Amino acid sequence: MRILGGKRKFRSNSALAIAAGCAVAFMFIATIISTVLYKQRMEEAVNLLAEAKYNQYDSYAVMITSNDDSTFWQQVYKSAKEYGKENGVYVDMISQSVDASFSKQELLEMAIEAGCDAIFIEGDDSEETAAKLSKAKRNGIAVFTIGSDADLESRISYIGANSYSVASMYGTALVDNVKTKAKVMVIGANTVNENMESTFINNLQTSLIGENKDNVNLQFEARAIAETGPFAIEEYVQNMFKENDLAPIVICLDEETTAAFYQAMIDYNKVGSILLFGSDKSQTILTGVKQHVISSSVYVDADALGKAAAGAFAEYRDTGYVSDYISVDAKLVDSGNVEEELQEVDNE
Amino acid sequence: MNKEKSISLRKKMILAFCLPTILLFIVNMMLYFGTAKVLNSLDEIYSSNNSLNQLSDGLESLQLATEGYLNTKTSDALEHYYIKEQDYSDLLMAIDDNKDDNENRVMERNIKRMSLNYLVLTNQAVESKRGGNVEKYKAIYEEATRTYSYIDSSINSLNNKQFINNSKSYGAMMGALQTIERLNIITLVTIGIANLVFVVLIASTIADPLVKLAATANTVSQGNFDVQLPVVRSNDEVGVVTMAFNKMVLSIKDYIAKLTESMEATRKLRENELIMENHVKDAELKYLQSQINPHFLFNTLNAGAQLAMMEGADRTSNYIQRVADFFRYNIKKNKDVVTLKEEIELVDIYIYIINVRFAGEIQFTKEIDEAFLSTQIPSMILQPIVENSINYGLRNIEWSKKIILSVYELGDYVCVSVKDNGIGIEKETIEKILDGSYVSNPNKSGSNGVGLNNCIERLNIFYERDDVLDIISEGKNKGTETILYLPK
Repeated sequence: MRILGGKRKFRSNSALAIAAGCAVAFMFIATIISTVLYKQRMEEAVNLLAEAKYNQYDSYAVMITSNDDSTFWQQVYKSAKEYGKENGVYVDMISQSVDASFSKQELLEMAIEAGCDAIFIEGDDSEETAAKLSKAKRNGIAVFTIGSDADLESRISYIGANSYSVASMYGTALVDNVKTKAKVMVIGANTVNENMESTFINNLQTSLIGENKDNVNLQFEARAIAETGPFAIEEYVQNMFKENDLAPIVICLDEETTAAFYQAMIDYNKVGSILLFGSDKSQTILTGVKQHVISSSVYVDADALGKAAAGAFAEYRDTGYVSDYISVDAKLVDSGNVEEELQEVDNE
Repeated sequence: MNKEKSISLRKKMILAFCLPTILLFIVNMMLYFGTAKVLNSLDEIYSSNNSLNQLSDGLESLQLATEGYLNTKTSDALEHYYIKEQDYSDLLMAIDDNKDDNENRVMERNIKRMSLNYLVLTNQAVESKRGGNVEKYKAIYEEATRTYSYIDSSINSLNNKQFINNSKSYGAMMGALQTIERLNIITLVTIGIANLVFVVLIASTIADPLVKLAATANTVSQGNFDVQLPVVRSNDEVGVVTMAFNKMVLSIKDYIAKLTESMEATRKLRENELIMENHVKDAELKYLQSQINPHFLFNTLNAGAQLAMMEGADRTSNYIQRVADFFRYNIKKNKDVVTLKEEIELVDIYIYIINVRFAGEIQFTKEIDEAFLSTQIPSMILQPIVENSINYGLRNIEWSKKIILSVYELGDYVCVSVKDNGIGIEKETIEKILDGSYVSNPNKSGSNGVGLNNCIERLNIFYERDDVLDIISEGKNKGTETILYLPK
């Protein structure tokens, strides 16, 4: 620093040269940093478009049920998908992938047209379903019925709860709560046809005899909700309450009917006057049990069912043979264990 | 001089303009191509939707073509059907029969499989129609129509899913683009500022030495040559100019110093001349004081000599003539530089007069190298020395009085020696005489008035040396030798 012409100036040639060098270095560094950041961001952006690498599956299976959106079947699907993935099976629920709404038969036809390796179907006794299953068999597709059985000729195996043990559970629940003569209404939606209801009633009665509780004089009435359109179950149940077409004891054989009946009991102030036994364990049903609106509910372990279904196909694919009946445990939920079940559902 | 490894001014300026330009150009190009790449990628995002739309259109066209043929059975409709069938087959080729564990990929696979079945069914329907099998073609057509609805629904669903995914990708790409845009702006601004700083600094490195040089030049122009010269740090054009300026300032300084020295020498010479003149005048004055009127005396002596000759007194005439010569010499030569020969002649005359006066008791011997007789010497030097020897050295001695005058060569000098065998001089007295502090007795008789001091001073001034005259005496009664060292 020195004084020149009365003006203070920081002027040293070498200092200026160093400063200029620093400016150049700074420019280069700024360019390099910018390039690196730019490149990173570009790579991130390009990676978004890059084709993802997926695991490869060996077999493609389609699951079709009467109500794919229900909590129970969603749980079964999730379980089957997870277990299937471990065994190289991709389990698909076509109805969840396609926006349009298709009937069970249409979905079955889609699965056949798509050339799947296996079909997991909740069986029914309609001829149309039987025809499609027969076509599937002709096309070399392995058919497994889950939850409810169907055409024995076409299917490889049935995976579900033992109907007798399910009936026994209801029987035990009934005798614990019913001491006098009463009328029992057994009601189920379209997947539970009248034959199945008859079988269920027979099994229930047999189980009561087995428990030495046949002294209780119970009259059974079977009801099947034949309508299959949207909201059919809820409307049917509402009509029953409107017309007071009810019984003191009601056993619902599926999730939707149980939920509809539970809500109607509250709406029509029938809590306490009707003893309701339900099926399955959705959040709604468990809440009903907790509130003592639903006395108890019998459910098939959805996880176990899904796992057993995927396992059955994997075994069939690998060995060419699998047992034609695979049992899955049924469980009862009542006020004694409802808290645990609720917690379990909350955790899921 | 500590010089940096330097770049020429031209290169500096080229650097200052080109480097920022090139850098900015590179950065701009990089950003431009990057952005162009992202924009191209944006086009690709919805390509899957485009493919699915084409597939859907192809499917619909095939269904219409099938229906058209089944309705009309014309060959045009059949041709149209085959074209559409081929188109759809081509579109299906683009879909791979994958086994990827992904919902969308599974849907693609299903669409392909169902489409292949659909092609078989439409083909069968068309063939049945051509074969006239009414029942069969109707049943197959119904099945084909169902399959068509399944495929169409699947394509639409997949298209929706892809659209949602692609929209997410698009959003992410747009986000990336915005980030890149911000990065572009920040980078350009940063580099722009750095460039500005760089150019300013480079301009300063160019201008600073010039400012310093101008300041120094201003100081020099005010006559101050003792200014600190600007340091040359670079070899560029400014450095060359600065170096030239520094050289110029040093040369001027040197020239001024030489000029001053020369002026000083001239002044000193002039001063010497004036002193010399002064001494001569002083000697002359003293002479005139002692010889009241040399011309009158000279004329008188001449008249005396002529008289003596007329009277037949030849020796007296000769003597008077010599005395006249002696004074004539003084009158004639006392201002000039003379030759050694003339000085020796004066000494001869003087010795003759003295010997007449002292009855020839002084033995005067000359040992002269005649080659040096023309040597220049101030006048009235030798005679006062000889007179001094006689007056102070020989006058009162009891032994034979001798004076030897020698002229000989010694190195670069011509030596003139006047040696007597008189009483000698003490060393202290010699020193005093030589440094001019000896005061002789002014009443000493017989002197012509020009003292030794006067001689020494004139010699010193004339030759610009103080060692022209030396006096040697080995002690009392051992004589004295006075030597003049005259340059050749």
